[in-house]
Amino acid sequence: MLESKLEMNKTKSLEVQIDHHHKATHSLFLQEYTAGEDSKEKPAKRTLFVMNVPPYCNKECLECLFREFGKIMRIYIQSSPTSKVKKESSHFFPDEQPKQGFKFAYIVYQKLSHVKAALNADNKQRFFVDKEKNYFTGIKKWIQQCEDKLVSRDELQREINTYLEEYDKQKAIQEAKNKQGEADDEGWTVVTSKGRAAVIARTEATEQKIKKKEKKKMSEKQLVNFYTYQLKQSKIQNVAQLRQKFEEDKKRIQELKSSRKFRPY
Amino acid sequence: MSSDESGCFASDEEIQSEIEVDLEETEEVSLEPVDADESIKKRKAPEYDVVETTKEKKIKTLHKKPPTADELNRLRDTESLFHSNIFRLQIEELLSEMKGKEKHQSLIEKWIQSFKDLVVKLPESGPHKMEEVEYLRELNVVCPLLESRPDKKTQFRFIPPKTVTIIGSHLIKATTRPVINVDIGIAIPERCFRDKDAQDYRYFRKRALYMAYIAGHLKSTEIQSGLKYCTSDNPFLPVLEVTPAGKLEKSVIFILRPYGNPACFKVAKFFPSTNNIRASWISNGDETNNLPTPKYNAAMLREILLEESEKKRREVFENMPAASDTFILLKVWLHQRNLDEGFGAFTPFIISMYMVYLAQQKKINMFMSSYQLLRNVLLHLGEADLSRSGITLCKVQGKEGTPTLNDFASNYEVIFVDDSGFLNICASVSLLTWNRVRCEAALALKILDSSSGRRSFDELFMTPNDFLSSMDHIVRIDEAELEAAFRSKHIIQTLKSPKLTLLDSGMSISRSILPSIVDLLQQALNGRTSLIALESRKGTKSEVDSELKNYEGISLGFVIDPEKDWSPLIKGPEADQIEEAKKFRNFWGEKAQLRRFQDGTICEAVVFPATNLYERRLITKQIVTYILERHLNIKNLTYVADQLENILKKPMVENYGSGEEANAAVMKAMESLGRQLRDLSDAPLTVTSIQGTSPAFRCTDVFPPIPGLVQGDNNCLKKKGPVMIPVFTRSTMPTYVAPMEVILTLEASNKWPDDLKALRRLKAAFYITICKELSSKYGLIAYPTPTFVDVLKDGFVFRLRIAYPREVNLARTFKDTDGVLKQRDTAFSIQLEKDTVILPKLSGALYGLQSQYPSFGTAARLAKRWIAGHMLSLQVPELVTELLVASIYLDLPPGSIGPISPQIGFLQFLRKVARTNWNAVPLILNFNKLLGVEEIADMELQFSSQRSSLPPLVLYTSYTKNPKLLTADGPTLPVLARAMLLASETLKLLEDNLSRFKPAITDLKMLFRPATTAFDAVIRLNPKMVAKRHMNLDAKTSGKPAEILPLEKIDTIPLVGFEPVSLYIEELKVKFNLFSSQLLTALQTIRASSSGIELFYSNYSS
Repeated sequence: MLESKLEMNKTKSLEVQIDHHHKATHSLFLQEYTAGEDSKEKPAKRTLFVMNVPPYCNKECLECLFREFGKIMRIYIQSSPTSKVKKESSHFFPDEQPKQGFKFAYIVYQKLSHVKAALNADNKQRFFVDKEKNYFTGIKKWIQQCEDKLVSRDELQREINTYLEEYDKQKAIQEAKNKQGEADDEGWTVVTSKGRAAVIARTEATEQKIKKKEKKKMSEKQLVNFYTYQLKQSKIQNVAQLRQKFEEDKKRIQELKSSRKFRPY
Repeated sequence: MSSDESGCFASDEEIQSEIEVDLEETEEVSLEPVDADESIKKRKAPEYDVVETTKEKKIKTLHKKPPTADELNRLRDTESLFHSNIFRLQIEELLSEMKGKEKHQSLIEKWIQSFKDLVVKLPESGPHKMEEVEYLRELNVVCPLLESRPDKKTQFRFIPPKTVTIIGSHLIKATTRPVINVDIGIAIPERCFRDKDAQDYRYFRKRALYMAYIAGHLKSTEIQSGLKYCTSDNPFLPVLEVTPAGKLEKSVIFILRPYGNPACFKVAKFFPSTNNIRASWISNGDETNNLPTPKYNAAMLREILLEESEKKRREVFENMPAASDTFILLKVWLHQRNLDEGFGAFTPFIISMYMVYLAQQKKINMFMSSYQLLRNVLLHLGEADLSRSGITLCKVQGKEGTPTLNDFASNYEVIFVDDSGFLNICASVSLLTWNRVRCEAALALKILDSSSGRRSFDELFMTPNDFLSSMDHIVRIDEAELEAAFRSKHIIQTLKSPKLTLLDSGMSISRSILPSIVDLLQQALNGRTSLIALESRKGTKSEVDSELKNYEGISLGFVIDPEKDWSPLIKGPEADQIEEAKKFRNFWGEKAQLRRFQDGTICEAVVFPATNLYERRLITKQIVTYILERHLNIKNLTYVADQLENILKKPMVENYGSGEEANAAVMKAMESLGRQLRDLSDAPLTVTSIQGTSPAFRCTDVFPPIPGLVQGDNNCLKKKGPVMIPVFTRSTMPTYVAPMEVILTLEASNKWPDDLKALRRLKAAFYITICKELSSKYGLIAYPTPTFVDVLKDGFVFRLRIAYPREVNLARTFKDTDGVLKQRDTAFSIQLEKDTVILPKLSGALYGLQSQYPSFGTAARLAKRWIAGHMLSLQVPELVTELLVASIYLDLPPGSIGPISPQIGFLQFLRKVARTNWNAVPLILNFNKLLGVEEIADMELQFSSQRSSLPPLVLYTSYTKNPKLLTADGPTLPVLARAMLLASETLKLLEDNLSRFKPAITDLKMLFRPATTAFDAVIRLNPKMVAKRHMNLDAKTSGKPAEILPLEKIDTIPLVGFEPVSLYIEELKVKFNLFSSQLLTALQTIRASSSGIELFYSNYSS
């Protein structure tokens, strides 16, 4: 499974309990983050890569868990390991549904030594949930979610307005671009290197239409049932078709027979 | 989370023993109906593809060979003589399945020879007195005749027979498997009888004694392994069933029929109207007038004329090569409709004689194929009128000395005179059975004419069309009640001499009383039913050393005419017609009352109260129960009509019935909201169409929503803006309120953006506008969110969403690497298409079905309740269940009005689930007949060619041509197999229970409770925390309706769609999916029980 895939010598497993009431532990797997391309958000030398993050664990939980090793700058939780960072999408209109299930986390520390400290952590009791903080599970959590989902009409309107204004602007620019090449009121045309927009939209449907037309043209050129061999062949074809149908029916009956379809009672 | 390995409760143990569903069976997944064992294991051979290609090549070359004369003949024959190629092949297969095997023939002959040798050598015995029993006791047998009056004068002698021959259908090669019945006629020598034996049962008694004597001697021989007396369709003439020993034991039964020698009696003695049971014999001379004994006479004539009619039939059948095949087909057809045996049956003998009649009339001839013969027989049978005018085989109508058809008509219900001109072959056929035969024949012809070959074949011969599912209501009266009824005043008044009637119907109370009961019911129901039918039961059997009893008990079925049945009022004559008014009052008793009608007349009338649809469906029940008790003193009858409907009852609401009214209320509110939405003026685009997609809008919501708020819920809710949110308490959870999903379509405009993100925002802007205007213009409370707007209207919460037709297209479009815009389905686009395009269309179609067949909705609700009850609801989508039920209504034979009672629809649904081989056939729902024959053929072809890549259950509809669309996410193979298994078990219990005179299970709720043994782990939930607890099958009721907050007091939108159980399941799914890693699929199902809500899940390893 997952564990066997990891190179065990580089990976640290951290046993964490959910809180004081539950004894069972959950293993987080820690690694030093080494990415092909170094990014600003996740600098290779200062980032800790955490695997097997349970669904109930959020940024706050991670922070209270990992701050003992050093000062944390940023935390990212993602459903798949990438070097990129997702843009924050709108609160009302998330670009995609939040992924459920176990996730990956990136913890960016101030220094490399903090990462090393985390990788060399001792086996003392650790908890996802801080004693003082209220963390909800079960029905309380669902009620909380219910409350979080409430939408203020005005805020929603404001968000829509700003987005649509931006969209309209973009669209206007796009249209202005497309207009290049058309004559203006006085009959002048602005000539640029890009030229006019393509005449035929390049879609699948149009391409298929063209192909069909070509085929039709080809077939119209040929003579049908003109030579004797053609006549003969079409007759043979006819009988073959009848037979094929008969065979098909027979096959179907055979199928039905094998499922004992013919014993009425 | 606490899991409980054992997971069963005392209350459930009983059920588990009844519905034994073993998980091990489900693991060996098979999609065949349960009774067919060899499953799809053979389907995939590893080298399948390779073999196929070489085969294909061979086939292709084969097809191009020049045709032979034989082949061309066959192809031409099929065209001209049969319905279709496939129909011909199907008939051939069926016949080969039904016909006796060749290898049995010689064994049968051998057995008969040894039997003959044995019987001819039996010792003579007697003379004995009729009552003498010693010699029988020595042989350890009894006389199989019920009538046993002392008779001192007559003597019985046993003289061994001279002729023992095969008679009946074996002679014309038309016996049918699985167990071949070979009739053996034993001619009783003339010397055994005297002239006057024709009277007073003496012949029948002698015949029975003769049979008993043979039985006694057979007992000790080794050629038999079982002897049984059996009542045939004629109660005067019991027969002896012999099971042969040896190889034939399981496949053949010999039926011994002794018969009197024709020379003994004169046929002229048995005119229909003569009396052959003398009054002096019955009651020592008390009654002087000798009433006719038509049935007794017919039974005598049948014995006398047996040889002749056999000869005649044989002649005709030997001249017509296809006749035997047709006869077998007709036998199967009758048997599937349960019309061919038992009391009042239309026996195979009669139908073969009818073929003889048609041949005589030159309606059928020797050149016809079996299909053509079948068609012709059905055609004439459907049009024949045997009940009033009757038909005769006698060539010279009104031959000197023979009775006229009028003589027959006044003494028998159904008339078909044989070629002697004396015997009515249909003497013991009940009028009710004949009516049904005629209807079925007419229907069969319609089926042959309308649908495609394969379907019509299945419908005619393969599907058992039993009494239970073809009747709307059934009333069952058992033996004890019949005996009491036979002594009632009404019977004594109507039958001139009950004693004689009883003797004339072979001592069977059922037969004697039936006409009176039918008369009463016809008078009372007066057109509410389009057909009253009699259930025929198999004859009774008994060992040769115990008494043979008649089968007693009557089951009558009603096919209801829905147009007339809804009226709770029966209008009688006007008050001033004194004679008739008196009659009416006499008939209805204290229920009759004078009423003034709208047209000013004052009439006698009877009213049966009914306040809701559920009660109105049962007016017939009220009438039948009342009339039978009033006139015949029948108090305990079983009425099959509404046994399952209390599963849909909801004690929370007053006068809820089975919920149809509650559903109508939602529709009404929706209609008025629709009007308001169309009138909105502030929005830039007007609303053009409004389509509800929640089950309530197609009348299939198991529990339609109730307007308003349950009062008790106020404690656990708090107001926040225009909506309510839950407050955590340990004691309760707010009652679940389902949002009613509605899809709006706006008028067309080219201003919509081409970008999905902008589109979503624009829609949200519309939601806000709609919301503002609804509250300012109509004062409705509404609440917008980014993806929908909730509106409170008449106490219901409607969730409106806007559908933009191009959105699906946009979601499918993407730019390929070569710059071409291409269209491919994505998960998002499929979901969108399903929600905004397909679902509204299907909802509309299902609603249309509901208005055509009013029982559809309730049947679908029962089916959904059953699916959920057996914890399959998470795996079988609601819509799929509804469509399965819909398929039953769509497949109804042409002209049928469909089942009136919902439970019959449910029964059919169970049959469909249990008996269909889902691996071999797709379910094609042709809504509004939008699919043509070619399209259906294409679908079938696609199905068979792509079978392995399609889901286990494949649905095509008029609106979804993609076979994966509806069933891709369920049911999975193990779930479907389990559903089939559960359906067949439920069906067994339900059918058995509904077919009994006294139901074995009084509470049919048990059919809706799950078997928990199949699960590995059980999670119990606290019932208080379940929002849907009131929907529990065993929900505790305080007996009075819940207090609902009045509508005007509600000023916020109630908490909608909040259900912790499903949230919990979602979380579990998320958590288990990772561990399952394709190997284990978690099957989670919830179930509400009296001790709490439990969550079950089990792992099927694949």
